[in-house]
Amino acid sequence: MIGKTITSRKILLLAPLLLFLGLAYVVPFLGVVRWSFTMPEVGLGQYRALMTDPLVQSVFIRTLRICLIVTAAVLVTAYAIAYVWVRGSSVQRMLAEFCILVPFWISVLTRAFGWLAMLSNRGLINTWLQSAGVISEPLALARNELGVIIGMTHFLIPFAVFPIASAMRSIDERVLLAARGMGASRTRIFWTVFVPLTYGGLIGAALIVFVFALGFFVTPAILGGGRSVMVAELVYLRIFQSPDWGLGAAISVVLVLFIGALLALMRRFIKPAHLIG
Amino acid sequence: MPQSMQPGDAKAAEIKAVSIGKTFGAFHALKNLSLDIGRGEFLTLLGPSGSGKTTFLMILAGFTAPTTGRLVMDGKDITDVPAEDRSYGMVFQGYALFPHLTVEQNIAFPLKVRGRSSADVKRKVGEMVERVGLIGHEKKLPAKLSGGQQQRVALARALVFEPSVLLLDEPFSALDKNLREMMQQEVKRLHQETGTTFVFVTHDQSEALALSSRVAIFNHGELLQVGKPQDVYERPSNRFVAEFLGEINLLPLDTVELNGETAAGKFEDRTIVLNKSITLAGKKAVAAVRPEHMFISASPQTSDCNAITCRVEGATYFGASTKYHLRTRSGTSLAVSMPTASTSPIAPQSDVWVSWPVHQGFLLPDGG
Amino acid sequence: MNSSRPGPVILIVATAVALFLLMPLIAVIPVSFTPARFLSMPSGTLSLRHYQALIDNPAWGQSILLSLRIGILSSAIATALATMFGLGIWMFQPRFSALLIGFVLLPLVVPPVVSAMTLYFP
Ligand SMILES: Nc1ncnc2c1ncn2[C@@H]1O[C@H](COP(=O)(O)OP(=O)(O)OP(=O)(O)O)[C@@H](O)[C@H]1O
Ligand SMILES: [Mg+2]
Repeated sequence: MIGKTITSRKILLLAPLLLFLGLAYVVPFLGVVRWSFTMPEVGLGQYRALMTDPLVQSVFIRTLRICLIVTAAVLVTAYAIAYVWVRGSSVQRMLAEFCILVPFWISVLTRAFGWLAMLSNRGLINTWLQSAGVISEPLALARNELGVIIGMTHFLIPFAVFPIASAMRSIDERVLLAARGMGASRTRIFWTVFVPLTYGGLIGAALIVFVFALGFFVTPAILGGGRSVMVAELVYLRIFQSPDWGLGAAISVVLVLFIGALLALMRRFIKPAHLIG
Repeated sequence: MPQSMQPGDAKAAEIKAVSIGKTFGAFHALKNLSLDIGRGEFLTLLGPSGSGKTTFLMILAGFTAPTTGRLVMDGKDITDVPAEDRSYGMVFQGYALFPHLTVEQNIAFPLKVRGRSSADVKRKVGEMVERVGLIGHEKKLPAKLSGGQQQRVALARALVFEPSVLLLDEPFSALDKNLREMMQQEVKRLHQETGTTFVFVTHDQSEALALSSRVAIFNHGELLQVGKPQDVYERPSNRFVAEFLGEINLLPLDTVELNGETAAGKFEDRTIVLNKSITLAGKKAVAAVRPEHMFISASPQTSDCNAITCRVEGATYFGASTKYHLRTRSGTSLAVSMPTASTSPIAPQSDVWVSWPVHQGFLLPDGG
Repeated sequence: MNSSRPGPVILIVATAVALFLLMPLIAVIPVSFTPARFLSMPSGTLSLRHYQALIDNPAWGQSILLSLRIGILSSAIATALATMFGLGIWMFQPRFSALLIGFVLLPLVVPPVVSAMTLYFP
């Protein structure tokens, strides 16, 4: 009797979300998988096209390149600010927290337009540099790959800060004191003790950033100006503009499989609790 | 061994702490503490939790700056010398091993910091691994080691660079009793072999008495007494020290008279003669006697002994010894501990005499 | 006791990162006062025309209201579903809780465009 009520209560609590996700995600995604094999005709044609189409190839390569560069840039910058956030004086901590959280809460669209206002030919940076006489022609900072990288790095820093800061916080203070007591300099402690003890957080952060970056859509679309299309934008173009649903679906399936494989491979470094810091 | 050390030996340092005070906000963690740590000695800081032992050790190591006072090492003022330049060996509570480095790499760390050649590092690490009995574990990470093995790595890492002082903060508090005793012997041996000055923190009184050349007893940030184990145990200068170092019987005395080396006072209807280890300013006093210094008999022992009558209330069997719980006529409770082998069981509720040699009892101020 | 306060190198890098993080947010404010129709820095004169448009053009007001409505509704539903799920996991610790948690976090890593396409599925 009691066992039964517990089971029913368990189902009552757990089922709604699972059901919702099942209906809203899994079933439709299976539909997408079906499209990839059936549109416009049944067969592996879309996957064959995906392997051979030079445009798709170049987008994949560009996406990987941008994601790798962004991941590296994010890790370095996030590490520095996370360090101040975790180990700075109380004022430093507050400032760091402000700089991490405020952009985090602001929409991706606003941030992308903010960067456009900064980087475009008539943007802040070019206006300043020109009026200061440093340059005569505006620098090409936006509507190209550089702009995309800048915008994506900016968007993703907070997502890397949380797991890195969490790893930094879990370092036993006495281990660092021990290293100091043995005569190690600050630089040495940082590189041989502190950083190695945060590898777990760094790998987790790299994974999150890389996976998020793979699916980026808004930032590349705005800051790339159509010239550096990434995979997500390609899917969008195939489905909503040049209706080529089959290829769009096939690319989506490949993307999801790739992300799934990456996460499965690295699953021991993923700690969901670290995502929010 | 303090006696065998040559003065000026580079391996052992002498430290003087002069009027050290430490406040955290309004809280006084250490109060005007002065203590001389001799070259090559094994000094134990003993005190209850929160008494300031770790704080004092951190000040010695240079991790914390004292609010007031100076530290002098071998005649030089080192108060403002940072920890990395003092380079004392340190074993932290909870070991603080580098979790990402193997046993070997942990022990090699301080040598690498000092820029020793890799051949030198290898040789020294090998020696140290052997010395602390970790052969076969060199390539393991700390997480794969037992508590005792981790403790050995911490000791090896702290001693491998031959520091002039080794600081140990409750190194054995996480170990079980057998392992603890084994490690205590090991630390004692390492102290004798290296001749380094050891400063050891514990809140376990038997550990303090068993290991140290001297014990410093802390309470509420104050240093209450420093002395050889036997002195602090048998001649405590106040009640806190007397009670903290082990169980003790306290008999309230009336009309205390001091005459030369001894004191005499009245307990119930009997005169009790005691050592006079403290000066009393006419206050009330108690007679203090350790349970193992008393014995039970059917008739009073008189030659150089005090004796009082008691009733046996019960007994607790501890294997090697048996502890009897007794009550005097005026209601003071007593404990007497006697070797199980040398006595025949004493029946509860029987009236007996409890005696102790005059030189084993001492006078303490009442309530202080 | 807190040993490693940030050194000068890290502080300089972190300051640069902090400025980098705030830069675009600061940039959008002056842009909103530009007199021009396109995204640009106001040069010389400031103008409130874009704020005026926000009030005058009913399309803006309607879309802001719509955003609000969708935001409130979807966050309410999401919070309710997630709270129930979280409670369920916490109270009963079901056998495959790690797997279940992994499953509900999946939408986080699925590229939004794939999600959008998925939902587009008739
Ligand atoms: N950084 C600090 N800030 C505020 N108070 C502190 C700080 N460090 C220690 N204290 C206080 O100082 C007192 C002494 O602490 P300490 O760690 O020296 O005690 P201890 O004798 O080592 O105790 P234990 O046996 O529990 O380790 C405690 O009351 C503690 O709360
Ligand atoms: Mg302590």
